[in-house]
Amino acid sequence: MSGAPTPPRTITPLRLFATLCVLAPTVAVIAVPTYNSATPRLGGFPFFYWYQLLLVVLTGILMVAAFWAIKIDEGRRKRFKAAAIAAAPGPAGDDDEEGVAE
Amino acid sequence: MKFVASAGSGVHGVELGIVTGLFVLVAVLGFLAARWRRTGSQRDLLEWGLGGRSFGGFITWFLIGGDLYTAYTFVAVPASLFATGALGFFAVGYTILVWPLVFIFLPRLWSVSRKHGYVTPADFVKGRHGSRGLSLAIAVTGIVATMPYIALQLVGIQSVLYVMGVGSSSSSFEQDLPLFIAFVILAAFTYTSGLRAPAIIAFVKDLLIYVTILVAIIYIPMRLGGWTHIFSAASARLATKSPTTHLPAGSTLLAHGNTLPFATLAIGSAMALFMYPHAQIGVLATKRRSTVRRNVSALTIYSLMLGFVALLGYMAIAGGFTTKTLGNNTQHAVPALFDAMFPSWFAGIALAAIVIGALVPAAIMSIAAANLFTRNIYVDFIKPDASPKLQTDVSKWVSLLVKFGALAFVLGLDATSAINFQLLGGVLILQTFPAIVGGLYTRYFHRWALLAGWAAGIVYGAVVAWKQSSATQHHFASQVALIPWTHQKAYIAVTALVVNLVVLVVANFILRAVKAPPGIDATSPADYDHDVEHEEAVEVTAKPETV
Repeated sequence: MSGAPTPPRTITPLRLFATLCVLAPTVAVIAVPTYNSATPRLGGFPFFYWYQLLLVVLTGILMVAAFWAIKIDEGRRKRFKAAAIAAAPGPAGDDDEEGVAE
Repeated sequence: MKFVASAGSGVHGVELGIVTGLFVLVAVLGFLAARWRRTGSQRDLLEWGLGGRSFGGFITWFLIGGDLYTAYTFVAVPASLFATGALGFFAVGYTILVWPLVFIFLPRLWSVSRKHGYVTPADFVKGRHGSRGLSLAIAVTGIVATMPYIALQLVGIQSVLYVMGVGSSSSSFEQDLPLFIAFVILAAFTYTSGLRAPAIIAFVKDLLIYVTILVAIIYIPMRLGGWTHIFSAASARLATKSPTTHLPAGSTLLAHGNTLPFATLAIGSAMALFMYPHAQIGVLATKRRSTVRRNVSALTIYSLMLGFVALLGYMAIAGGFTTKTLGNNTQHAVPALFDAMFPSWFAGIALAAIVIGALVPAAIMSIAAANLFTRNIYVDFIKPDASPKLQTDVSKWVSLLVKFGALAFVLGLDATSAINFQLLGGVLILQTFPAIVGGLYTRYFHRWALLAGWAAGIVYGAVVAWKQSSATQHHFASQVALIPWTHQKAYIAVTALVVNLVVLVVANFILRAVKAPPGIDATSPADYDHDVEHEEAVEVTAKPETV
């Protein structure tokens, strides 16, 4: 955090992290053969059932993580843009750095 | 261990009293909702149809949750586990997959809709692709898919009435009267209060449902001898060979060949869910872009609950219920289980939870279908200069019409056909995915190619779904069918989507080659990241009005 701010790239570690958080549960659910089994059991539940219920909870946690990653990333972009507008002489305004994909 | 009680014999007074009392409470709330959080003119369709787009995170959580986890979910998902075992548990995978999908694309839909004042998904399609025809296709698909869904909410209420002994009367007028009264009240408060009514009722609904489920998953397994016993009883029953087909009904693990159906059912249902207009309505009614993303993690609590609700199907097996003792209708499994397991006062609360659980989605669905009709059929094709007041009036009347159509559906045909049409609805609605979600990211696809793909997917899906037969049913007997030229089964909606995409790509290639007119795109790239914070909240013109 020193010197002039560098423009944020399209792919940042935070965005990559959010993408992984969103993809992980999707892949886990689709990989049906990995959990179609009765053992190991947990509290009377076959693996097939308790694993999927656990996956629901994990998905919730990953979605929180993704939300914050995106929020921090967007905050940085906004601050950079504001700083760039403040620093730029002349007619500042419509340079749309923000038009990048989600 | 047998708990089979008196399902369907004699009226259960205490239960009926509690259900009626809670229903009256909810109806009063529904009417009072018209005065709640009013931000603008009640004559505006955004007011009646989207609650003034004023809902923050807390209300949205209840509204979306109340919207997606319907009475039918509570009845049908456990019934499916009761009848076939592990395959029915795809509903949990499906509700896991839904949230990442929502996280990715709904903020974009929210932004572009807020920027351009879109009320329905078909509004967006029209603006984006410059095609009234494509927008009409999306709107009609939405209405056709939603109608049987509303009818199914009535099936949920019917099964509760049956278990309380109200629906078992021989006179068919007496049998249908309670359902009729419930529906007239629902129709009336939706008419006066719009989206605000289900938003308020959703609080009561969820409170009742969470209490019911928490008690059910602790108390019922205790009475039935624990989870181990429940799973082994279910496993044993499902493995019993049917006397007619000489095949086991199912199993508590996925049988060979059921892996792909399970995965495609989960993916296809997840992709289809937010194509339903009633699901999008909860999102479009939010105040800020970030509201939905912030909510997604908390919404997974509903998915967890659904997982336990599904297992009620196995509890019904362990409790000794058979298809025969349920009056030959597996849809009665959960209400009958509650009735047999709980003391009658708590059974009343649990059954009321299901009935009220039907009201919230039925109201939202009828509003969504009405908005589609008004915006994308009435205004686009019948009366282009309709004032906002006229649009609201049309929507209100159509919402009544839609609900009574659903009622006639359930009373005139049987519950099975409502379920069949709902399954077909899932197949149809998924075919709007390329135009809506594709449109959020790219204009690469030509509007006529999207229309051709949609038509191909609809025809393929409808024909294949219609052709599925079983020992008991001639048509619509299954949601899964063989993929052409293979020996592997998959969810029909997903196979139809593949057909849709193939036609889309080929038609797109041809249309671009002949330079067919692409239509005007009313949106710009920045619209998809639009948020109201930047714009000094034009929407919140708070002028309380007393009419």
